[in-house]
Amino acid sequence: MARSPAPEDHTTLWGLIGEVTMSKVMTAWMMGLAIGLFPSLAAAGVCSLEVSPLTVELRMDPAHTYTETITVKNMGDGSEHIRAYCQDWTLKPDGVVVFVSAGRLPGSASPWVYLLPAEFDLEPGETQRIRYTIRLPAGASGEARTAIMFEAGARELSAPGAPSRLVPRVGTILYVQAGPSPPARARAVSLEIDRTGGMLAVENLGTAHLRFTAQIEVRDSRGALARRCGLNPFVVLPAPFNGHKARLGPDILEGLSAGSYTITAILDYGGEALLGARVEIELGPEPPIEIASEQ
Amino acid sequence: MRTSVVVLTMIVACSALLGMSAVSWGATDQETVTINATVSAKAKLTIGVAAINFADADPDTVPSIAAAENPVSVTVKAQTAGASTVTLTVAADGDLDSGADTIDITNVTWTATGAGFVAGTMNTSAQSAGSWTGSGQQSGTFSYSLANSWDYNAGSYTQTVVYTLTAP
Repeated sequence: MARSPAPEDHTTLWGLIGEVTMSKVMTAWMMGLAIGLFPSLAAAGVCSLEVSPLTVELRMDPAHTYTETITVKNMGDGSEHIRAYCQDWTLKPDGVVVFVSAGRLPGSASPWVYLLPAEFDLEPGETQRIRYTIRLPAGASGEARTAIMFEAGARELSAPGAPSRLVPRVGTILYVQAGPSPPARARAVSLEIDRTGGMLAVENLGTAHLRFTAQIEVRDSRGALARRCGLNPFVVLPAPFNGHKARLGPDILEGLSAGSYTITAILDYGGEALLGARVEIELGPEPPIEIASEQ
Repeated sequence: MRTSVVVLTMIVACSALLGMSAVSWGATDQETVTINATVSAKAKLTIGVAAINFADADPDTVPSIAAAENPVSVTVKAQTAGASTVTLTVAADGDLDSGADTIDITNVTWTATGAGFVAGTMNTSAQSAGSWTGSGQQSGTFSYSLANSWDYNAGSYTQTVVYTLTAP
């Protein structure tokens, strides 16, 4: 069975986790700046890739093997050479996903994943099933993660003189829990808000990822509900990437008159109880809207 | 949304697995392995062009060069579990490169149209290009600009940029 090749390392992305790297021959997009008499690049056809499934969450016992398939379909209008490989990934506190070469991050499942085939060609409309096998080591414990990437256009990039192509890359996110599922534990760290917006900070205290849904309630000085809104759901990984800062938009307090308010964030992360964070604020009058006058 | 929880109880004949694993098992043993798998359905990322070009222009009269292919259509289709967030990130492989000459990649910016698509500045670190909650189809456009300057050496500059769709 073929082992997924590791992409070449070279680009520092995120200081928090040291040298974070990405593939040099990843999804291709050539930007040509023509200054003087230089040829421009011809735009090629539509690049479209469909991958199923998008997320897999597994719980399995150490020292065992699991095999399943992922389906990749070329939905574009040209033939594509697809490369499959694993990358580590993590989430920045603002929720942006960062991809790192395989085996570099704590909690990496990449070394345990084997892909077959690791490279293949797809004509428009064609589908390929890729078998992935996870071999969990005997000593594995806790949660590990990887992203199985499907990248088109590798052949075009590697051919000297060939035009670069813009192609999508789609990743199947894989969570592997070795052994029993751990209890979900989390805490709300802080809640800050004013008329310009705010921030809700939470921390995952467990050893597996948590999926949060959150609601914000605004009550006036009499306790009457003035506003209720939901935040976009978010994932928080276990340590060392276990902090998340959810941005609150200014719309939460928009239109409220001056006065005292209590803001409460109510979070459901799948634990035994809901989490809460509360802050009391004194709202001044809304700033006047400046309208530019015509001369 | 099409999320399924599959509980598989497999009787594994270890002798069949010996060739696949470094784990040592007895040749005649049998084990019961319980695997819980939660799987979410599928996603599709479509980008309308394969390359963008910034034509030569006088920095005095054209301080910002728009890409010839603007606007570039982008479509994201996803079926996920209800609380999942679909994210599109972008990262450049380096600065714009023409032999020994380079142009800082942060001189490339883009604007976005379409719900959930995000404008930004190109960087070698991952930048959000869009995010959405749950299943659905999202259509938008990206329009790219290069800040023009007399400081750029003449050349044909290229770089690789990666758009990645996932649903953590």
